Amino acid sequence: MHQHMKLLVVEDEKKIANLINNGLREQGYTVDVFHDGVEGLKQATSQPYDAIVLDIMLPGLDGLSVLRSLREKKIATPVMILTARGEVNERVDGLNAGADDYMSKPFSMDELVARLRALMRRVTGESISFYKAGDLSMNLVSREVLRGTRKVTLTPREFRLLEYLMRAADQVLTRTQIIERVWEYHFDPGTNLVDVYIQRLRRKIDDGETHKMLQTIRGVGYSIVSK
Amino acid sequence: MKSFSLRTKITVLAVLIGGVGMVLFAGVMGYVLQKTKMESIDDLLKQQAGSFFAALAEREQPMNWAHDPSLQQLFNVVHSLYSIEIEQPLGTIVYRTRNIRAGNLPLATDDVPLTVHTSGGEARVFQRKMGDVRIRIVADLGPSMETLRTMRTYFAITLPTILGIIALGARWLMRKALKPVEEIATLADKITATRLDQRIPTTKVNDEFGQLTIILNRMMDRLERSFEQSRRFASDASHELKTPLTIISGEVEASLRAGDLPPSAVKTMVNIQEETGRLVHIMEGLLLLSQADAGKFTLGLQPLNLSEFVSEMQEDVEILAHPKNITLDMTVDPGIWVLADSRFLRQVMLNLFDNAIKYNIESGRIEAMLEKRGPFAYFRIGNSGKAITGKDRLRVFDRFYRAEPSRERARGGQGLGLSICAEIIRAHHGTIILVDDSMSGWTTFEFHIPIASQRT
Repeated sequence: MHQHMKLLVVEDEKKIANLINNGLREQGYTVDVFHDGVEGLKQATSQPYDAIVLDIMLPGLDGLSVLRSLREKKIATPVMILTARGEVNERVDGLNAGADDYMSKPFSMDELVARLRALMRRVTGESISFYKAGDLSMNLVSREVLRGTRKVTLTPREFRLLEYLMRAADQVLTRTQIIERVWEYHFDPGTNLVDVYIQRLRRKIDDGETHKMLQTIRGVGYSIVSK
Repeated sequence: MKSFSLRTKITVLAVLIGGVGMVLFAGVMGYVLQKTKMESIDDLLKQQAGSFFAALAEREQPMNWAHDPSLQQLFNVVHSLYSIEIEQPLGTIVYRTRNIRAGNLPLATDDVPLTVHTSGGEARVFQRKMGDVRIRIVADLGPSMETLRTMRTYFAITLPTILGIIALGARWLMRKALKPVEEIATLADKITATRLDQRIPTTKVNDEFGQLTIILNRMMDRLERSFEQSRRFASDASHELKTPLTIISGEVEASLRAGDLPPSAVKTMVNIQEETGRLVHIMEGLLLLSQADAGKFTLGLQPLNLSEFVSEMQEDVEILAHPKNITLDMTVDPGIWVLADSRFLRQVMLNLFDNAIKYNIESGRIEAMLEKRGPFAYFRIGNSGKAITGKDRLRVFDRFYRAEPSRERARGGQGLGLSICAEIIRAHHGTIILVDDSMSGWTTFEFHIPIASQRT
């Protein structure tokens, strides 16, 4: 489904740019990579993209200026900002300049893909009120979760956990990512918190089913496997 | 004198100096006055004696001391204050005014005035002989002494009054003199690390305080520069370090995702991933602390229902505490609203809960409590683990400080947690303390942050 999706990556660190490039290509996106702000801006204004990944620290023209120029030119392409500084203000600056989302380095590729996907869906008007993977579906509005025809009742936290896993279905999410996104703990208690919730969720979703959807990828993290 | 203000010290000093000066002055004055008075009395006595003998020499017949009516003429001035005794021949008193009783006067040396004490008070005696006649004149010192006494009384009354005036004057003067210093201090205090770009206005440049202001401002220039440098350094360092870390973690993630690694390599990769994550956490902590040091750590404070916020964590904490079989006892007053940055406040709460579990004993207890006290929300968390004692108490909020170095590293602690908590709470305009709970043997932390107006 992504074959027609074209993304622009502006990142001056070649190795990081490569990682993003490969990660996105693996997902079937077409990717253009540029290493400085001026080139990136030229490219973004001359060609239509479905989303832009923009580093803040760039030679030539910094990411925030690129972003402002784009918005001034009424180019509304969703922009994901990458920053290494992690200062509180930078996030606010980025969002004020018209960024749609923000990730601080180091980031996980799966997380980046999942969030870019969400950004593009928002733009194309594709509904993000509904997730489906295999025979598991969740409605974000009615908060109804179905495994096949069986209704699954979740606590708010379990719901948020499942939503996060479903958003990145068939990708692996690490425990740290889950802790940060679902619990908003920017501090890893390094404990069994996630494990306990995953177990609870697994009991509710997979008990009595032949296909176990919520899988533990040993040593890496967790994934909702649709098939 | 250490705990007194400069104004008080100067005032006391002024009063002391003034007092000593005045007492010395009064003493010298009194002495001189007394001496002068005595000399003038002695002069009068000598003059009396002189004129007596002169008149006596002019007489042709010998004196009939008892009955001579012209006797009075021998004395130049006979004042009621003088008493007179005359011997002729020496040793035989032939005349004595009525106000002297026999044997009352001690023997004096001729021509040397002497002060004696009589029943009527102090008196001055002067005697002189000529031939076989000796005259002894006695002057009552009462009136002169009275003057000195009156003077002393006046002095005793005026001294405190004058000292009082000096004290008031000194205080007023000091207040006036110190006012610019106080103004400078207030301004300098306002220009804390958070507003280092401001300066004290230099209004009066030519006096000593103007000079002080200029020096202070210059100092703040340097401070601002070095703060800015260290802040930028931390920020740049963080950026420089995060780039390779992003590459490391990205490469590791990619190779894990490829799924074609042998199990031993997966384990290694996962370890690398975890340690990279830890490095990032430490770096973020250091960045936060350096921003706090430079006064640039500011939060986006939003109204937050702290009661709900804390309650929501209860289940998580119970899960985290479960492996050690620790029971959590939590009391939360409802409806407490604060201005907070939930992301950072959550970090504080989790850190405190995490510590309460980490440092607790097996099957221990945690007591947490949120309550409203005055204009503050108080959160208190105690655990039944070993109490922190002695010098450790003072250092728990220090960076990279560990009470038990070896044990905590094994538990994955970074030694930054509590110092970061302290900065975050400070950025919420609050304070965090280690409660002195040594009696109970528990370790209890408490923070309070201002309450926001009630919201629904």
